[in-house]
Amino acid sequence: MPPAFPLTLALYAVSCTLYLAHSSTGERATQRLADVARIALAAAFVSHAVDIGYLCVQGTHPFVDVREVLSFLAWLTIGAYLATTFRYPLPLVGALLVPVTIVLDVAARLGPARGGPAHASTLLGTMHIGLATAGVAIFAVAAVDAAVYLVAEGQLKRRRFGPLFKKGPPLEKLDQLNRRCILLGFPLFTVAMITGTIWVMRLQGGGAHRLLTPQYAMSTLAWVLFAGLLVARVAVGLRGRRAALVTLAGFGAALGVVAIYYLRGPAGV
Amino acid sequence: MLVVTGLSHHTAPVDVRERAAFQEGELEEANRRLAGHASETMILSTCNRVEIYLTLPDPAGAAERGRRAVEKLLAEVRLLDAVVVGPHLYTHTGEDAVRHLFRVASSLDSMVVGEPQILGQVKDAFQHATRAGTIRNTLGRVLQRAFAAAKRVRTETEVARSSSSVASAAVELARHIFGDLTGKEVLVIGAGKMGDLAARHLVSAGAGPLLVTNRTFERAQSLAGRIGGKAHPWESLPQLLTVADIVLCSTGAPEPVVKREMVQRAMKARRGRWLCFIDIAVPRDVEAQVGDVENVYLYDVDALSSMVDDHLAERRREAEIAERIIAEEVQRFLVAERSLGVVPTIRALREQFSSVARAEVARTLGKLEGASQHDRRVIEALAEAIVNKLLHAPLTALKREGESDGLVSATRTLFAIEEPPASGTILPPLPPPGEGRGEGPLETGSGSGSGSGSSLGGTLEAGRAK
Repeated sequence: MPPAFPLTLALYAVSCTLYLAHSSTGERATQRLADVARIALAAAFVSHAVDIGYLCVQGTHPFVDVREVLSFLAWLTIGAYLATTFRYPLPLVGALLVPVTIVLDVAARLGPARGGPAHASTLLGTMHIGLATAGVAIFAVAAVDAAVYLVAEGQLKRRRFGPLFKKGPPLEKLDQLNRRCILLGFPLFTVAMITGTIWVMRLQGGGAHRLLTPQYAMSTLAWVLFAGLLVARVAVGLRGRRAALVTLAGFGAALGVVAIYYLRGPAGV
Repeated sequence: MLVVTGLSHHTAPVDVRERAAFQEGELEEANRRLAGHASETMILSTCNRVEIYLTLPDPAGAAERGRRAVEKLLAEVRLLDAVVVGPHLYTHTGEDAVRHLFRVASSLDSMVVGEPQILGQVKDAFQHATRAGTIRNTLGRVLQRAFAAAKRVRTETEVARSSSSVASAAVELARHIFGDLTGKEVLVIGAGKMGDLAARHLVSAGAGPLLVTNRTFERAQSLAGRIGGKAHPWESLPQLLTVADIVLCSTGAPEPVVKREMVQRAMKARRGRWLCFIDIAVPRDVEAQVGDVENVYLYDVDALSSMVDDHLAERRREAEIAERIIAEEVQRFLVAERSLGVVPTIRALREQFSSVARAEVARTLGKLEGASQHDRRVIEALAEAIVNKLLHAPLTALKREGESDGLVSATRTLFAIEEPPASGTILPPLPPPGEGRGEGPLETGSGSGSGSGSSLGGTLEAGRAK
């Protein structure tokens, strides 16, 4: 276990608590809460980076093991969220996203060792895993944003003007963030799919039947959903609730791939 | 002593307020006119209130004198007869006047409690009076504390953070959908007064351009002219729905004029862009099923009213917290003011003791013919030290207690100190121990719309006094 892990976890917990407090309290002093939560999250991000760096120096790079991939995914997700906060300061998204990353990081550190995928340290393997993780991290931000959209939209439609309504960010801004995340994450995920396909074919001596695995099917489903979403956004102006639902479905499929690797190990990459 | 006389939405109808309101260009001259009647003056003139703050050196009958000065000013500058304006005037003095100013600056006395403009208006009034040279230390001190109190109320309560009218609720809902309203097109259907008001709110929130349509094109043109929009013929309504982001409906039509099919067609042309309907017409102008269309949000007058009611209840709770803050700030200010009121007594007491010591030293030195210069300085220092030691405890008590519990009066009586000169504080001087604190029969009113309780000073509200 890396030495900064307890500190990282504590900082994530502080940030998470502050974001949740911000989302559940009245307006008074809440902006300050959100600001402090963001600072704590940035500190956790740095501490987490120190963990990953330490493990790299020890010879355990982020793609050597499913556990490390999970931790790296959590780190990238937080990085992606922090990057969005400069343009889209949406604390409610942080309140949902930080607990998810805590679960990912804890699962990575406390879960059983699964061993690394064969030849993960090759250029192709590194590219595939790195790009796929970055893509999923950005989709994670898009998915949480989509979940917030659905809640905010539901309240506006049902005319429920409770405390969460007041905290709900504007629908247009949420949809805009969703579109930008998908636009950024989709090319990364696409290149990851291509490199992954080539990698698997080379490792296992070719043959299309080698790709008939649950993880490849899930990845393809995620790719198709995000591709369809992008096309529909451009072609017919799909936005709002339906875009949010497709985003959640796509992220669910992408997360399924990670879950399969985590539960079954890297056998049959 | 501080005196405020004026009229507001609590006491005067809009036609009287309109006539009493000063133009911005008149304020400095009006302040100078008042300067002959008071040490300091400031005129606060907004669409909902006209108030004149004065400090008068002589507290005797201050309320009545302040009131007469204001009636004279309104008669001379605004040509408003005292008979017309008199019944609507209220007057507060001393502590009540301080509390009133703090509440006004904090928007607790506003027609829409928590509205943000009033603090800026009080600051503008302060600037006008400063330029006219009619504000000095006393009024300056109380105004600075009023600004600080208003800032506390704004930062420590939510009193200013929720919609309290149907029009402002419409703006808030639109913001929840679109965020920044800049550049969002607003379509006004119908030329009613409510649509006019809501459109103005949206424009002041940054929305625009404005499109107006009405069955009678001339009325659409008239409204468009008033609110800076563009009139369109009634037949173009379906096309207008494809470009507008926010639609305000306030026609008098007996049947809905916006149907689900019309909106569905518009949404295809809009490529799913969000559309917000604010329907404030009764009977409703928009079919209820329109709200089921994807990315369309429909709010009728009931939805808006329930939002306003929720917010008003919330504001009432926050206003209670704000009132406690005001009470604290008033007390803090009064304590500071009272400590200023003690200064003349302290000076007089020290001077009295020192003069006795000097006289006794001179008499003693007269008897010591062979005393050297050094001996003389030693004896003078001894006398000064005795005075300082004797006065240390009483002066500390005076500074600490201020004017509370009649300590200053008791000290003045005990040491036969004459009435100190006017200290320039906003409070009336304390009466000798055993006497009441009332100022006279005119100042026994029970309070005004400000809701202030009276202790020091008093309140006069002419309309109620009658």
